[in-house]
Amino acid sequence: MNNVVFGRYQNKDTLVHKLDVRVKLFLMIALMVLVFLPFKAYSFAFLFLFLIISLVIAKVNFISIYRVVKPMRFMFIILLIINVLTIREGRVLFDINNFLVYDTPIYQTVYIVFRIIMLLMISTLLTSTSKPTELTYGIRFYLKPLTIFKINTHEIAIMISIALRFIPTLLEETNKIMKSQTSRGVDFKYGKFKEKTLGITSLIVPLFVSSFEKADDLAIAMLSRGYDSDKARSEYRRFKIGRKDVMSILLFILFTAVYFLLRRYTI
Amino acid sequence: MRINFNEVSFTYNSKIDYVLKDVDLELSNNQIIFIMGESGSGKSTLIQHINALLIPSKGEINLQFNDDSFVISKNHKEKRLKQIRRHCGLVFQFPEHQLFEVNVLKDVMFGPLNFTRDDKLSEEWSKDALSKLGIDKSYYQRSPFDLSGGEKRKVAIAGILASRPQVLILDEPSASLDANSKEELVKLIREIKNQGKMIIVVSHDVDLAYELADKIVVLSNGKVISYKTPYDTFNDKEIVETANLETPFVYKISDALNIEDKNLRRIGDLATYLRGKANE
Repeated sequence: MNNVVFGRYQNKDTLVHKLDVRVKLFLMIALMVLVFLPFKAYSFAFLFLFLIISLVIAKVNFISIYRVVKPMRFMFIILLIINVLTIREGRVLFDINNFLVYDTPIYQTVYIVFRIIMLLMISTLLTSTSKPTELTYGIRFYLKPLTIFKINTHEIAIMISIALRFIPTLLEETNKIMKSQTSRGVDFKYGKFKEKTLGITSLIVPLFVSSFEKADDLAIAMLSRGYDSDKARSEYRRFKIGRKDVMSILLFILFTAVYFLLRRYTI
Repeated sequence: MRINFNEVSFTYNSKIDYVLKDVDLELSNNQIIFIMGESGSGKSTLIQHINALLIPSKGEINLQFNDDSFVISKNHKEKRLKQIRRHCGLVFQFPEHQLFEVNVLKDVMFGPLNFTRDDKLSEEWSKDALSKLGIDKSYYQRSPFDLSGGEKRKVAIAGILASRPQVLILDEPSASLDANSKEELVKLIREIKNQGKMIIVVSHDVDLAYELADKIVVLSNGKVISYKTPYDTFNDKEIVETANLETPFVYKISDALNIEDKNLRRIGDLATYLRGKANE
């Protein structure tokens, strides 16, 4: 758990790091829309390649994504079983004691797994290259239109950025509590199922307690420094769309065009 | 009871950046051993090896208990890790963060129950540990979350002592404790030592170390640079400088007054000595 990079800002000097956070947020949402379009093999492979190249440019460690995906394998297996049992269409692949296994549920599962991995890649790309303060600014920028309805967009933005900021802290905390309970005889790795279930209670309760304490401390610390979410706030730095940002948007438009062409003319 | 570190090195993920480097150490019976050094020198990593929470990347650790022995190394897959953890109780920094049960007694019983699976025995050991820490019966049914900071820490320490470990490891036990609680802690450590147990303490508190330690291990950049008595440790200016240690108050006064009595380790003893000298 020490090595989890997911959700944590990585201080590196790359082109992706230098992009304006508003552009990055826009591109992330656009990429997510592309991921959720109906599955087409070639276009999705192209999207996957695009994401890999972006991650390489941003110098994101692929092992960190693998570490997040690895524990999900059981969920994927359960998903496959449910799909095989419920989706009864397509070409017959096997016949196990008069139970027919079709190809559609297997393809469906692969699409879902593929999509989840791509979503993780996109979110890692954003969170590991943008500081929480930048993200707050970006989110607030896009939420601005809601102020017409008298919604406090700053409050929403700061809540999201604090939640993002606390992901790694909570993971570190989990690791500490896990070690404490292991030294009290809980075997999270090799213990029996019952033991592991009991062990999880000993992990979750202290984690909740410390999260509430941390939230309380943070709220007090913010209030004591005069934080008032209703007041108009100034920025200490100005975000400006530069040449790199324009270039990356143009590149993305080109990519999207090829993506849709592939969708149209291939499987 | 003996703990031997043989050429132990440890790295968290890269093969170049070792947190512990070729640690050779022999910790033996019925002693209070302090582990000191700057932040990031490898103190906490070292003690987590004794509890088998971390396995050495290189080298091995031999644990010799009264009735059993273990080897921890990368190549030797020791399956009885739980037994090791039972013998070596580790109290983490801010142990109160591990509390989770509905009442104090149940929380303290959690460890011994995991190790013994015996309700009656666990309850007996837990009550015994609680009474040793000065927590009376009226606390048993109270929620651990309703206690004060100092009380929570006592309950958490009782949770480890209740498993009756032969080695007790304390990581920064005096951090954020008030003067009274610190005094109680000193008393408790002495009492546990008198029961014939080995106590390993990781601490930045030089005064506490000077008063309590039989020996002090000094770490710097993952290496053991000294393993001596408190007086010899602080008398070695090179070690004090390399590990960036503060000088204990009693040592400082003794040194300024040219007192060479190595047994003067408490303020009370120093005062008695000075009074005696004044009367002479």
